[in-house]
Amino acid sequence: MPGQGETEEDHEQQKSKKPADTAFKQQRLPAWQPIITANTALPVFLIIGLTFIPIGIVLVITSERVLEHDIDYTDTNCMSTTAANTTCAQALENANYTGQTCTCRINFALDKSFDGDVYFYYGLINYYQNHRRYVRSRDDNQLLGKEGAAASECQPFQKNSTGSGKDYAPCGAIANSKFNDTLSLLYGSENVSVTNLGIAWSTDKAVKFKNPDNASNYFSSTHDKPPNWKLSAWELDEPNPENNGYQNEDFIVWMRTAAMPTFRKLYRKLLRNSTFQNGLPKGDYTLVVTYNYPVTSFAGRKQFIISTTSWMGGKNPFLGWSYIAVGIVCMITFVVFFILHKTWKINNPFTYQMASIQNNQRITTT
Amino acid sequence: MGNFVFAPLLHRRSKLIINGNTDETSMNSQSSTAEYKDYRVSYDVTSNIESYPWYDIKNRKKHKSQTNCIRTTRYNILTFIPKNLFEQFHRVANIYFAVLIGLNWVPMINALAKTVAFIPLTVILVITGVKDLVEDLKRWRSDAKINKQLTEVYDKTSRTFVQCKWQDLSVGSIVRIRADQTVPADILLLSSASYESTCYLDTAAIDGETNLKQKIIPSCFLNISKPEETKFELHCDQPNEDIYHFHGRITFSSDTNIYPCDNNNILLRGCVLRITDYVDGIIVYAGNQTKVIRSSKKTSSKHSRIEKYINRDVLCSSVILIFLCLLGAGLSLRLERSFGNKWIYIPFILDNPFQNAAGHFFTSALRFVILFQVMVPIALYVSLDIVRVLQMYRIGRDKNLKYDHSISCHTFTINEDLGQIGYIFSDKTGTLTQNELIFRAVSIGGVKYSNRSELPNEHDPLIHQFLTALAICNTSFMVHEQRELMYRLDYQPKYEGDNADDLVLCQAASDFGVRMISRSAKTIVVRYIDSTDTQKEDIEYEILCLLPFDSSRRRMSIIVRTNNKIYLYIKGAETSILPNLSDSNDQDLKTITEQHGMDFAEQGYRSLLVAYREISFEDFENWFEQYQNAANALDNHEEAIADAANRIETNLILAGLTAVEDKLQDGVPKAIATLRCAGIKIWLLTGDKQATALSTAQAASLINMAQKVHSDNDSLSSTSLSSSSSSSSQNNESVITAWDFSETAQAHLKQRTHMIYYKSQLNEMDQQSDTQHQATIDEIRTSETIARISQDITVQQLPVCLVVTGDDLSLILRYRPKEFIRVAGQCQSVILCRVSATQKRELVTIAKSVFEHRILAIGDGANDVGMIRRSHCGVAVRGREGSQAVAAGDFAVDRFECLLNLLLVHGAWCFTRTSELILYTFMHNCQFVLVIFYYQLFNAYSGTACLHSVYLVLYTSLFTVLPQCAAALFDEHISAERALREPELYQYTLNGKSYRKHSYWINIFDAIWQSTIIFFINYYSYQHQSNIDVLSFGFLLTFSMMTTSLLHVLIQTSRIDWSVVGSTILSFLVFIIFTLIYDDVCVACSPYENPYKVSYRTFRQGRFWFVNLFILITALLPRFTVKCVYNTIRNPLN
Repeated sequence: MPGQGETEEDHEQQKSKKPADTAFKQQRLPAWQPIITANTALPVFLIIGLTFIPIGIVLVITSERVLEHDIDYTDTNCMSTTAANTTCAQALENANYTGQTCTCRINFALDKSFDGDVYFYYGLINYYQNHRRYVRSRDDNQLLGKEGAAASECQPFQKNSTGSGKDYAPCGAIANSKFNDTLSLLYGSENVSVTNLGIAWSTDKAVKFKNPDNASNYFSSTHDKPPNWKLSAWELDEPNPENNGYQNEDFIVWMRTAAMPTFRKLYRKLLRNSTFQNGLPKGDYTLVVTYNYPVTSFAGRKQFIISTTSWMGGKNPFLGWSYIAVGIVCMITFVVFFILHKTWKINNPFTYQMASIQNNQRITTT
Repeated sequence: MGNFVFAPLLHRRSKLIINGNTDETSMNSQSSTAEYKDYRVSYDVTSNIESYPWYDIKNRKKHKSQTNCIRTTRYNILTFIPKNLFEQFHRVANIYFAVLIGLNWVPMINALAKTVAFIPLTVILVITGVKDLVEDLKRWRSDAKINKQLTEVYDKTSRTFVQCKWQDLSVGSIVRIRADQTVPADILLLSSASYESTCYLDTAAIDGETNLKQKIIPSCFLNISKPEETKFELHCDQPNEDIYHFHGRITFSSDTNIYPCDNNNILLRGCVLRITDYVDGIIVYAGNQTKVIRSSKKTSSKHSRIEKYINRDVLCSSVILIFLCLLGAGLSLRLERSFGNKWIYIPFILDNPFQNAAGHFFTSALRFVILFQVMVPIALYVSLDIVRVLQMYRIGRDKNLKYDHSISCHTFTINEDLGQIGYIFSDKTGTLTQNELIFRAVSIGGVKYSNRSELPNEHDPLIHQFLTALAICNTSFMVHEQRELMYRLDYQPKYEGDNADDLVLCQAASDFGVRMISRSAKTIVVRYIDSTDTQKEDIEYEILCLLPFDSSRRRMSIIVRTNNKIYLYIKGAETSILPNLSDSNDQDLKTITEQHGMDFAEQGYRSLLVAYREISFEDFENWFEQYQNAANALDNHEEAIADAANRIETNLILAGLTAVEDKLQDGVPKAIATLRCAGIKIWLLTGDKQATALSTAQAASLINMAQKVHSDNDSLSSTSLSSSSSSSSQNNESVITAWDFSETAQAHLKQRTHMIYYKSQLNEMDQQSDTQHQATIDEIRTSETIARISQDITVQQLPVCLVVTGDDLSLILRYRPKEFIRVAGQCQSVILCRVSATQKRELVTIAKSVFEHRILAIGDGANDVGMIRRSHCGVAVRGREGSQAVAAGDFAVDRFECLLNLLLVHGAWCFTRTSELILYTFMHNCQFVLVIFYYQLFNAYSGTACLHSVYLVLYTSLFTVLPQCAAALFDEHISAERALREPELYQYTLNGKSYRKHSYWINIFDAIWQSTIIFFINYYSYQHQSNIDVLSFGFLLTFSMMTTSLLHVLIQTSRIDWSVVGSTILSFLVFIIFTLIYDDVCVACSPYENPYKVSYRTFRQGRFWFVNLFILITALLPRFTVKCVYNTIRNPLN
């Protein structure tokens, strides 16, 4: 029957014009259409509650185990050893910040021994290292030891325009304002042994910061030191060439600009030998400060911080308590929903009734 | 030189200049000059010039527009980049971006890395550019295809017609078009192969009318056998887009007479030649100057209502943005000044804050604008465009919308409106019905017959005349497949023609034993087969005159001579013939026939009245002379013929009535019932009379009337019952229960419709108010009637249907259109009968300004084009009435039924999807901006973004955009099956419940919550141990925002499928991989922002993971809770 054959062929042809009837093209792949109601949400709240509270407790305990001792040495704590009744801050202010140095000694006691690795930080408060202009005032290419003029971002500390006209090395406001107090600790009369190595990111030291070739010439003659610096970059840690110039770890730490106006930066690590084999023993200590860095002009504060650490980092109970709080809220929600669920179960859920249709029939005209 | 005669013409477009002297111009073959008011086409065969192609090239260079090459492309290779860029910068969004990029280059303001800031705009420009390029290539290809079609052109050197491409034709060429070929340009007919000097044209491509049009050779060429070898010149209108008018004057170089030519002599580009073997013609307008192409250039752009919402919310966002910027700038100034004159010692303040305070304030405000720019999600317009095109693509692939063709879409900006249609204005014929006629019955001499066996055996002259009229009074022609079998008794030629009624009636006559078996222009042979099928008698009728159908007379007639008798057979609308019946007709017969007409109409049949008369020779001779004068008249040709026709079409003898059914399309009753349940009001606009319209409406379940029980419940109605469309209410109800509807919907459908007839209301009004019918008080009558109806509707509990006819409608439209529409808008359905195309258009235009909801117009014919164009959303049904509606429509579907899926499923989906996309974009951008803003509180309001510039720019445009776009394409707030089963759920989108005024604010509050959690949890978790640096902290924030936003999409969508999950995972992977690579590679990419190894170090911290887990869950908890409470208590979709 030729006629039928033809129609079949036509049929085939028509079919081929249609979109291919595959599961993918016709969207018949598995899909899940969850309708989140109080019922389905109940287990979710329960699970959140049951997991968050224990997590919170663990985090709080971890944080509590971290020991920390902060010493604010901005003003009254730090009385000048040379001028009577003068804080070091006042001494600097009196000298109009022209490079005056001041030394002070602060006695304090540790009630508990700080076991394990102990870290020493300096902290600055109310110091906007994240200010837009400040954050950009650097030249990463220069810090890589590359030749070439300092980037314009370094303005107004790009080059010594009033004097020699040479570029600053390192240039920029961040480098210029490098923290330059010297902090050392005495346990009784014994110097607490510390190291200034390993305090910066290892990747920073290895990759991001490189001294140029012929570094001593570069820092001393072809470039100027930043205006606020007392020493050139090549004099930062002369005995240790690996830790000198741009690769000085104190400098690298400072150059990683802090995200918050209250910040601390790692200053030294405890070198665990002899007396300090197990960390810092409890007892009386003396902090010797060489006070160079002025902060009073912007109501800033300076701190010296001794801290141990944990797998969660330093001391911070905030996150743990947050977990506990949200966990409790979820448990309460669970209970409330559970009760409501029990009471509502009798009534059918409100459906879209005829009444609403009729209301909508007279579609309002304006 | 020429003596110019200025002939003022009535035509609006141009003044004609008749050039008496053709010598000069005729020196150039095929030259034409298009000066301001003079358009000439000269033709001269003798001048011997270069061969065709060479000439053509030259000509094209000189007068580019006059070749027949069409070009619809917008660009060429050279102009693409500048022109496309120029066009793209007309968009506010792009200007906004460009201005911000420009500001970023100002050193004082600079907030982002300069090069990175270019990325989003470049990406947008490139994507849009590629899209435009692809579209233009498509146009270029179709142009090339059209331009390369072949036709025959007269070659002067060889003096023959040679093959030639369309694009190589030019004004003044003579072309030969053969049967079934398309006319390549607007040409003036010069000669025709038919001896009547006419030709038939199928103009469906131009005006959508399917009946053939007759075109005639201008009188001056009638006696010229080879017009291609004469010299002449044509003066005519400038090229214009008016396809119905043309005026010209022809001058021959051999004499000085001027001969007129008009629209009857012009073949327009795009028409198809039918029947006639070939015609020759001279090209008058070519290429882009042809009337069709000029008239098709008007395109109006439509905008969906959701864009209004977007604009409103964009405004809100702008206000928030400005507020944040001014706040930030003010605080920044205050803080920097608070240090007093000590600022000079402060390491982080590098500029003097006391200099130029205003400048400082504004630069810092502008910097914040750059930083917070995504608060105003201008890119939303771009993503909307892309999403809509893809949405349309998905709709096009829906198998449920596909019958012979898949849905085609011409407007990509109104997808969401499909979910908000409150009113459907529907045509009847061809839209609700199949426009496929089925012969149902005849009523001859007061007796109904539905097939041949019912005919009486004995010869009845009335039946004879009736059937003869059906057989010959038409314009059908026939195709003889096996002419040699013509002698056989059962020979059945295949009837062809463009009037569907004619065809079906002609075929019906043939089935009744009166068979037209051959037809030429002069004679018709009709074979009469006796009732026993054994004997035949062929009678030849000589055609004396054919008075064709026209829409004002609404009838056609034919005058034939046989056996020395002259008969006039006529068929037409009842109203057009009844007044012309002779008094000798039996009054009872007349009444019975009218009654039958009513019956047929009630069953939804279309009926035509058939009559005849015998004409004496003298009468005919007298009349024919008048007729010929009329036919030769140059002015008012058609009116003159109509006048003449009216004079002969009198004293008619009634023969009978035919009934033809135009079946409803499959699925129409269910579709309409479903749409009604969905709360959509359907207005039926038909040219048919009230009874037919009502019965169709009833059958289509548009109304649910108390059914009159037919006493003659004979075979007629039983056949109609057996067909898919039901016409009785009992049947209707059973069908409704058979449909898979929810109970509420079924109850709703079973309600009886309360009918209000405008006419009777008007009459009652008149009786009450006791006024006389006067035109002067029409206005008052109209408005009072409308008020009356309004009262009626408000007290009525049942669904209401208003019925209005065209005559009343014209009064209404003249005096009280808005009031009427407002009142009618409260009715469930409105049926408008005897409505003209103009009235349809006007109704839609007024309704658009009155109704709050969107209006969809659906139709298939040229008479629906106005309505389709004016409506918010025009849908064309691909039918038998040509392509004009399809060209005008925003969407073109195969059947009315498609509306179901298109509106209830895809429309609702599109609306919810798009509104989710919009709200999410606002929320997500606001969250992002607020996180950055919070950071300003802790960096002295200085404008540090803390996020790396790359994240700042790519976060909203690349990293997080994908899942929501996937959701905008694949999310389904309800399943398709459910949308169709519970159509009342359409109310959800109809009333815009997924995007309400407060939706924006809810989302903004959510954004505030999320950003607060993200920022402050991160901040306080790291604050105490705050040796964290800016870039690490920025990465923390980015990571938290990323995870929160991605998971947010999963919570927000109502359906989680592979696309959303896949795109979420993909986005996350893109983000992580990008970050890891960037952080590994970028040691010194920019002078100050080098996140070398930042992410690696961050991932190694335990704190990081605990912080993120906490943020992820806490940030999403409120939305989750609110959603489950909402779903439990009052979600309309449950």
